[in-house]
Amino acid sequence: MRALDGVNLKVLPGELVAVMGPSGCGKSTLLNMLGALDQPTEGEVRVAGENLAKLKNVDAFRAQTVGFVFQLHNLLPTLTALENVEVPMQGQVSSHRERQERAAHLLEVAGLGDRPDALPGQLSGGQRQRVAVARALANDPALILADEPTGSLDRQSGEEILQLLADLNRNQGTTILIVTHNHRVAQITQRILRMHDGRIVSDHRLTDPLEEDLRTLAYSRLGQAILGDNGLLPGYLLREEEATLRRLLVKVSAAEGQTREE
Amino acid sequence: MSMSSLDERTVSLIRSMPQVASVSPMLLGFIVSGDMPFFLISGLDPNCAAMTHYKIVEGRYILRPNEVVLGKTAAKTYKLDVGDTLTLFENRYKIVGIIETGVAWEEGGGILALREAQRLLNRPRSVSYIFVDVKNPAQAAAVRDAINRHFPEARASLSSEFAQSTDDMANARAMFGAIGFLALLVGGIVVANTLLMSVYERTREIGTLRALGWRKRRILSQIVQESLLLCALSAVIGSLMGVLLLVLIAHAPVANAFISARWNAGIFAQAISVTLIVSYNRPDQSLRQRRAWRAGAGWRKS
Repeated sequence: MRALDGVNLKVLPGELVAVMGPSGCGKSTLLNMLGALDQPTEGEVRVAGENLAKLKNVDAFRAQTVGFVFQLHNLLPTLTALENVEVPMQGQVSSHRERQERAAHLLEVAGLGDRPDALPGQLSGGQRQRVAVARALANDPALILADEPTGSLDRQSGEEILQLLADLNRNQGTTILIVTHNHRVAQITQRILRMHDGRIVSDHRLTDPLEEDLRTLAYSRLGQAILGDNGLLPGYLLREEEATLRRLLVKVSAAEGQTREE
Repeated sequence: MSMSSLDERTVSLIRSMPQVASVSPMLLGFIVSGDMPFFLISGLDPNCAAMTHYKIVEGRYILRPNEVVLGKTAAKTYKLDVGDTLTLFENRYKIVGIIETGVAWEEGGGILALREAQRLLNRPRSVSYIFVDVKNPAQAAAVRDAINRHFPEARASLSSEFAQSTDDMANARAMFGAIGFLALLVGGIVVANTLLMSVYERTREIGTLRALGWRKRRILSQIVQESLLLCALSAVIGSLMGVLLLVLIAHAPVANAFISARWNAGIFAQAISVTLIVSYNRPDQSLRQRRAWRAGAGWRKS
């Protein structure tokens, strides 16, 4: 039996991708592969430029390159929220003070800056998952893998967690893959992969209304006004989109020149 | 204790052997009553050589049938002293001395005259042991062999072999050895099971740590350190509780005739070593099971 079959997927930096599909379709296996928890029998997995089959230090890859958010948060019950966020930094950040400061900052980002000393048992489900998200960010990973992060939460808490992940993606440009059954994820994601029987059956890109505005603006101003100093669009716009936009700009520009000539 | 029995005529026959200097017949028995959960009675001829085995710490040895010498522990347990009266089966005996031997069961009982002990225990003309002194120590083995040859109902052994060769002693040793082994086995299984379960219960935690990039060695080190600390604490607490329990038992009237509260460093070292070995061994084996951290990572469902 093949858990994944013929999967060809490219996720660009800064994307927020939702992976949906029925149970047993291979969603978690896909995350396992991306997180170097499983090896494919055929094919190749590259994350942040690294071929996972040739990794010399899988532990370092997991610690530094990916951050995991689990359905059941998997916090260590005897450690405080702050200490839980520090856990991935053990062995990565030598200074205890630095670890504490970073963990405190990440708890702030996750909206739990006022509960650093709380034990997981003293937090609500949503708060625990916020700690788990902060923990996933501990070593500033290139990729966050979230396996049903809202699966054990009530609707409101689930939406808050999705919003937190969306904010991270939007504000910090963190690449995120979310395995979910939550259809409200469509509100925050730019791309939804649908899987069935180990195959990706659809790869649907959604258009952000803001992106539409920017695109309109780019058309009207020939793109120059919204480009950063590095000539790129802001982080939450994808490179692929950027290329598309540039092509569009060239076309618009050419059309305008043609109009002027006429 | 089986309280073996020999016909007293054997004593005379052994005494008549040319190599024998003296014989000291002894009858052992015990009394169990409401006031006295267990009282060991040693019946000895007041003039026999074996009496010197008992060191008088107060008073004197028995001279008459209505006198008794108490062991130190018995005197303490029953709050009796020289000059007091001890009542056994409605027979009153005057306490004339307190003895110590360093042997718990001897110090937990008393010594009566042999004839009186035979009467009291209703075992007329029978003895449990016969202590034989030979004229020439070099002939001891030959005398032993001769006794074993001529008196098949008796089993003779040299003093140095006594503890090993006597059925009662051998049985007691075997019993205590078996109890010790069982205690060690059960304790070891319980400790191993506790630690094993603690690792299995922590598979999710182990899996989480692996997924967060912790090296196996680091996790193993963490768990082993925890186990060692836990077991060291357990060993200390267990030893203290063991000592406390032993002291309590040794002071209980029902048991102080057999048990004296003594221990040595070897016992503690043995217990702590076993605990530490068990504590190291279990987590190491469990951690090597790949499925443990896979299961713990919560990645099972698809």
